Amino acid sequence: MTTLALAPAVGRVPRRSRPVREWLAGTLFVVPATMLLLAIILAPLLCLLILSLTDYEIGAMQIRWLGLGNFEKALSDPVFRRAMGNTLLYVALVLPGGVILGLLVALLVHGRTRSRAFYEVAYFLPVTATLIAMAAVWQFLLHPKLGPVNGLLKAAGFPEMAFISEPSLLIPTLAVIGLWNLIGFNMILFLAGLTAIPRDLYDAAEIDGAGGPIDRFLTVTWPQLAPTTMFVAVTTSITAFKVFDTVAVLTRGRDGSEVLLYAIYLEGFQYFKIGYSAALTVIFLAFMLAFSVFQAFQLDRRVHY
Amino acid sequence: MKAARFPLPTGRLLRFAGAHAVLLVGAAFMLLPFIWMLLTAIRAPDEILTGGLNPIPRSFHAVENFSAALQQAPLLRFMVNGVIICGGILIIQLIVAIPAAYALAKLRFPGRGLLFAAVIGGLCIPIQVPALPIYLALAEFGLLDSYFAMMVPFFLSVFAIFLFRQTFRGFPDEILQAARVDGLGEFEILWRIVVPSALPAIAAFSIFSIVAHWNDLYWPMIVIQRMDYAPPPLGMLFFANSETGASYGVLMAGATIITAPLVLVFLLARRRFVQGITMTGIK
Amino acid sequence: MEHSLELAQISKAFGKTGVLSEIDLAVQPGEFLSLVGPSGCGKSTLLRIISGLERQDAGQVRIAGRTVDALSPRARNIAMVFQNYALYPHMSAAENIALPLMVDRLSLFERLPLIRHLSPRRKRIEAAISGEIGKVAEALQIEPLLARKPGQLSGGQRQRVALARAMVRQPSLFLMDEPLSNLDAQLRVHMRDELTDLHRRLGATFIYVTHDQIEAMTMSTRIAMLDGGRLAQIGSPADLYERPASLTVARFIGSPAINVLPARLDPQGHVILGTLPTGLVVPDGMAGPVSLGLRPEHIRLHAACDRAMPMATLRRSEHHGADRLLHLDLAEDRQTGLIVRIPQDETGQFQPGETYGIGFAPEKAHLFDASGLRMATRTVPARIGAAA
Ligand SMILES: Nc1ncnc2c1ncn2[C@@H]1O[C@H](COP(=O)(O)OP(=O)(O)OP(=O)(O)O)[C@@H](O)[C@H]1O
Ligand SMILES: [Mg+2]
Repeated sequence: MTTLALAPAVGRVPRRSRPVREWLAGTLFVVPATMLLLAIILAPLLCLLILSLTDYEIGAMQIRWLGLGNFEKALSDPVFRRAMGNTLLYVALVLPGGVILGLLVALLVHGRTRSRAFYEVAYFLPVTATLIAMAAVWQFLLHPKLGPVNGLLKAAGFPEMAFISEPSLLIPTLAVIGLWNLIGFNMILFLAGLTAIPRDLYDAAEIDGAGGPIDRFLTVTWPQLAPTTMFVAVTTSITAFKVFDTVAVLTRGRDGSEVLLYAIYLEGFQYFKIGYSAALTVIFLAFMLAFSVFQAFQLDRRVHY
Repeated sequence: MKAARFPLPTGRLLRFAGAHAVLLVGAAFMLLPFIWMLLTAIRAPDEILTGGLNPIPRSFHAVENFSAALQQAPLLRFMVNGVIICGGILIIQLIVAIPAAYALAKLRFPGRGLLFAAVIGGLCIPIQVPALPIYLALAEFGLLDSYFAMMVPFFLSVFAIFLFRQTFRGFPDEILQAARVDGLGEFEILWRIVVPSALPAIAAFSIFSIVAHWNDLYWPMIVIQRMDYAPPPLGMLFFANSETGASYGVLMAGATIITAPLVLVFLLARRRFVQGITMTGIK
Repeated sequence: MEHSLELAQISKAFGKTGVLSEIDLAVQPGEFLSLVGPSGCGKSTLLRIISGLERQDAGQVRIAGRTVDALSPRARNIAMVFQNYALYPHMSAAENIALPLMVDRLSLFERLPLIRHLSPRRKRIEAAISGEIGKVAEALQIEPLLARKPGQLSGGQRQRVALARAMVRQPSLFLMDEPLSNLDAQLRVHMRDELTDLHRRLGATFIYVTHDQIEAMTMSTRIAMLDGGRLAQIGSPADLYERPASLTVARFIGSPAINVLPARLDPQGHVILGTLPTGLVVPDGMAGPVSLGLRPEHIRLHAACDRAMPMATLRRSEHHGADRLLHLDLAEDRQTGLIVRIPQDETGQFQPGETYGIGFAPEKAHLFDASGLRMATRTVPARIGAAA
């Protein structure tokens, strides 16, 4: 009895006291992560900012300090402006579409019992698929002559549509493929959110007379999903800003299909204009951060209770 | 005693039918590319070129298309590369992120707030942002065209740290305290008590990570020139470019081969994955 | 007079497992009826059937004389208070309380975001509603809390907001599912008083689910006990305590629980405890095992050792304020524990480790047959009874 009561005290004497131990363990545990954080995020970020102010090119003999020259050049460059416009249009189509359709599918799937597994698989499958391979499939599906989509259109009496070569159709087509790739992911996130809503709230709504589908949605589902929606909106907009793979396969950034990342890729890794590409990257980052922060604030006001 | 049964109200019946109608149309849209890919992969070239809507292939050409795909490009090599890269990245991500997440969730140490802020900030920075400087550094040290070059930017996953921190935070402090009183060191506590309880979350993250890196195109496109190291998407890009419309059947066979592993993994792990996401409480 | 609530032959099964079978129940206006029973016996399910949240498989529900089986919960004019309050976390207390009235008086369009501003009469109706909220809030003394969100309220305050939301529509029937079980012990006692008080002031009918028999005993006008999906007994708290219809009811009601001793009937119908006659007789009873139930306060301990009494050894004695509880082990071959309640001033005579004789008045004893149902008894002079 006495030995038992004494054991912790005896054990503690030769060791370091708890705060110091905790301090040491904590520091030790984060060393690898911190070093990597410095090496592959913070240091490169700093380099990027510095590079963006220079005219550095691979193979060039000297580096000149340009100040904001790269940024001025970018803003007056028609190609870059088109890339920016296209990217924003793409985000404007994919962000609301991805959130709304993901939510709609999740709401419908959530009510299913026996068929739920089937729908989960069907909608999530595109997320796991290698987009680059599936882009080739889409290219074939949308082929003016060989593809079944145009085959259907023609069978229904519509004219043939050049989804991938007609500039005005290009970004919407890419957006549809982007949505196809992303809805399943949003659905799974929303399903997780829906599962976490207490059943009592729906019962209370029913007793209070708010039991119709619209009332239930407005009084319980939507407010309860607000945190999920915020997360989904931010991840969706980041994904949308990063559109690249489909462009690389379907158009290789041809006229009318320039997007930010492809422009950055071309300038930096094909033409080796490192300084200019770095400036474009900074603009890309600024846009994405601004978007995420704006949405987080917008939704945050409604999330906290 | 005769029981008075309630008939299924028509309103509910209508809603049931409506939901299925919408979901089925959507599911058809989601699955159409997969189905068409499979159907094209087993069609003969002339049948593809006539562009018929007929879904059922008239002649069975699968063996020819798949063997042609495997001959024209080293698809198996790409897949082996994919496994090596995904495996390497995942292992190091877990080794780095789990202790850091535990420290952020349960230990007090100087600089904790700062580190957590950096993690949150890092969530908004995709690989494309630090890509240029990392590329320059790898080129400087002659490390391009290697497995290491393909893996290094992903060794740290701030997403993993964030996710695991959320999961670990829900772990009861009493159990940790009891373990400390029993004389367990922090590392043992983490390894033997906390990690086993978080396995569903770790599994969910693993699927995220594998899906993301198996499918990543941007970074390999930058650091890899030699086909020997190409992961599946890059291989697919080479493959797609070297082909013309005439051999869509072969291309689709290739796409099938590259897409199949992840689809199979998901089909096998679906329930666990959905559970894991629910457990981490992302919201 | 019309019944406030009537259940006729209600049955319910989830899949293959039957939960409720053929429940009949009639509740008078203004009653406070507690539904009690062990966990999982179907209390919540029955309440949800009354409210319309769940459909019964068979049987009828009538509220105020009207068959409501085809009606939605809203049309049944009932209110419900949930175990964890079920307040909408994103709405303030006032908005929570207002919701049932808003739904009642405004059309769907007048409640939709943005579009609602088009309605000319919305402002007027909302003003009327907030007047009513004020009255309810005053009655429950939650006016200072109205602007707060549920997350900023304590458990007891949330409970009151939930009550206000239930009251504001002035329903004739209140359904409550363990509303106090999430509160700490002290607050629970306080809210018990408040609820009883509220019931008296409103004059409405309360159906109150609880698994706490003290709540049921102290608050209700009647108690209905469910067991295994059937109504085991319904009656006043005194009925259930003094004449439990089954062993389950006897065990459930009363704290500390009733003592149950194995006994048997001899061929003449005499109840024999061990080898001793108890003075209880079952008129035409069949010989066989029975159970003898004795409330702790109905047992007398005798220091003077009379050999014709069952013996028990005092193991432990607990202080319970005015009373003292004595824990004894029955002697002989039986392992049965026994609890006896005695007034505090009699404790001096009893010492742990000592052995005492057990006595009781036969008219205070309850007898149950092998299947647990109450048996009618009469008393004859016998040594154990006489000793009390
Ligand atoms: N939706 C449902 N599906 C299947 N079984 C259910 C469902 N709801 C309740 N049950 C089952 O019905 C039985 C009765 O449940 P109920 O919630 O009515 O019990 P209770 O008396 O309220 O218990 P407690 O005191 O624990 O709240 C339980 O065995 C429960 O598992
Ligand atoms: Mg219950």
